[in-house]
Amino acid sequence: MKEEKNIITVNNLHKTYPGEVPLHVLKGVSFSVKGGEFVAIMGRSGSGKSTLLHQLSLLDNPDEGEIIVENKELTTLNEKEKTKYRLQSFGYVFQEYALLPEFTAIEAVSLPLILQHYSMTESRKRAQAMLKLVQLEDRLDHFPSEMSGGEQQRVAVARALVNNPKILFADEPCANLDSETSKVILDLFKRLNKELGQTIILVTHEPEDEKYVDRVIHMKDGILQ
Amino acid sequence: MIKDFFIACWLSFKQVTRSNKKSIVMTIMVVVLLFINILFVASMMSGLITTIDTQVINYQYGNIVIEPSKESASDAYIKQADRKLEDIRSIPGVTGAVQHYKSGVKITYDQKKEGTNVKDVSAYLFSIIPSEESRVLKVNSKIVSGRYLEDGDRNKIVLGREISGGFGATFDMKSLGGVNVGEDVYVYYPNGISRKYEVVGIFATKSFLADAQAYVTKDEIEDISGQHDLADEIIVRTASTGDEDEYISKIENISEQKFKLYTWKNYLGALSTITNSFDFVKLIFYFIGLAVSGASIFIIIYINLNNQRKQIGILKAIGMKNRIIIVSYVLQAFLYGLLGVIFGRLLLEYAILPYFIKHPLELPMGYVSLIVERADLMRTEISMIVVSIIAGFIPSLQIARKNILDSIFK
Repeated sequence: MKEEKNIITVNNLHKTYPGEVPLHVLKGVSFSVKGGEFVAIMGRSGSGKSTLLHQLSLLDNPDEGEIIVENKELTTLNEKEKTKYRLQSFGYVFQEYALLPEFTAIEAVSLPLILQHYSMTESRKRAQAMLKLVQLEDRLDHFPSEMSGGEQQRVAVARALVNNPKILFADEPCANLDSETSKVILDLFKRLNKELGQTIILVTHEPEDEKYVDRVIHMKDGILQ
Repeated sequence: MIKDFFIACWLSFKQVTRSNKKSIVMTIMVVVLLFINILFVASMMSGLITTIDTQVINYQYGNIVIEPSKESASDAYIKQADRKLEDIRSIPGVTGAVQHYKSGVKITYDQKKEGTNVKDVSAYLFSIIPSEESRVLKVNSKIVSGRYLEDGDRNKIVLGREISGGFGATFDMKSLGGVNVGEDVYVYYPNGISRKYEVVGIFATKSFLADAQAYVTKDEIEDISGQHDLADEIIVRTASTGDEDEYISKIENISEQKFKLYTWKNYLGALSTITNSFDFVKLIFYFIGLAVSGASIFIIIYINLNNQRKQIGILKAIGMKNRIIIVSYVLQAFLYGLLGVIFGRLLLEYAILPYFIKHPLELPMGYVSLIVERADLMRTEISMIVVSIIAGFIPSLQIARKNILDSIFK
């Protein structure tokens, strides 16, 4: 399922957080990921891996450098275009599930579709299929407070995938889960990558996660090793 | 655009119906209290103004006062007063008309009957036909001691409490010092005649000006002045207040004699400056109340939104447009404002107003009930809803514009 073409190319990415002592987190990061690839960005805490993921997924703006997705330079997009891009082309799984407490599993997964003006019926149908894919078909009308951490994270994965994103970003999705549940999530990622050819960029600091991915990018002090 | 609006509605609906009910109830309660606070003060002021106006109408001037033109000696009085009264009473919408002789007199009272401590008061003395008077002026209903005059009473007088003294008179020290029913006073008329009267009643309308008047029967005055079928004034009462000008033109046509016609408003005099001041104070309180309401709603919604900052960050991260987020929170604020206004109005109309109508506040100037004017009500309702929308818009705009990562992680 892997393509020869790069789906994302990053050139000389810099990010500094201002403050009394400015923090230069990304110091010229360059790499590329091919379509259908499952890549892990690994490194110690503070190495800049989450910051890199935030720039790639357009949750933050880099100070310098290029992020090219399918020949489109993303750093020059305005906020409206970035919002649209996040909705239509990217999926994002946060470390802390990031589900809205007032929304049931099926509503949470429907939301990205509703935002793209799909009908409620169609959105619900697709969301239901996606929840079935992450084996939560019996939890459709459950609220986050009624689900375990692993189940919540699987809802978050379903929400990130429901729009058929070009790239799925996951920022330490297993950090708050026990080892058994973590395995369920990573197996799910692996399955999505293998069966659907989903491009996944995963940030993790667990060395044992290496076995799930095609390639590991190591980061240290804001630069790739 | 319309689809985005529906998404915002859907989002608001989910958040309102599924978020903390106690928090929503508290927010709406605050809006209810702020709404009532604004209207309560405005209604109190309107009640005061209405009390003053009603006192002027009920105890002094009716709706319309007809006076002789006094342009010549022959126009010093209203002539053929009985005939004119009949003509006026026949005008549709006129509910009553009475004639008065009016004299500036001196009234004296010798409390100890020793001639050493005789007190005197200058006052207006009116002549009335008691059985007719009550159709126009309501002084008869304000007797606090003794009785009102009866047709055919001679050498009897009824005094206001500002003349008699006692009964809570405002200027007791300027009064006769405490005349009791059954005692005698002397009245000195401008034509030099003086006469002794038995005080049969004392009235207290709580209007200082009305309570500084005295009444005797028409027969009594005509006996003293030797005049008949004349009047110093005719007081006219109409079915409704506020449309007196319509009646004035009709009254002008009933006689060839020239009159001066006034409405009760013309007689407000110094009272009009008080009522105008109340109107001004009402406006100031209204704007202060509105500013306080705006600030309070803003703070509540800001705290509420700040607690949902992370959720807003998540919504932005999954690609929700800022305008959908802003509209959804503005809709929530609008809903809180609308429900607050609806419940506030229900509370006002079905609990607070009925209570104060049944139990008006007893103030020195009279009984004051709350009067909600339609204009005040509508202005406050619209203002509260607009303030709620603004109070929802500003913080949601601020938070929606925040960096996504700051919203989620800080």
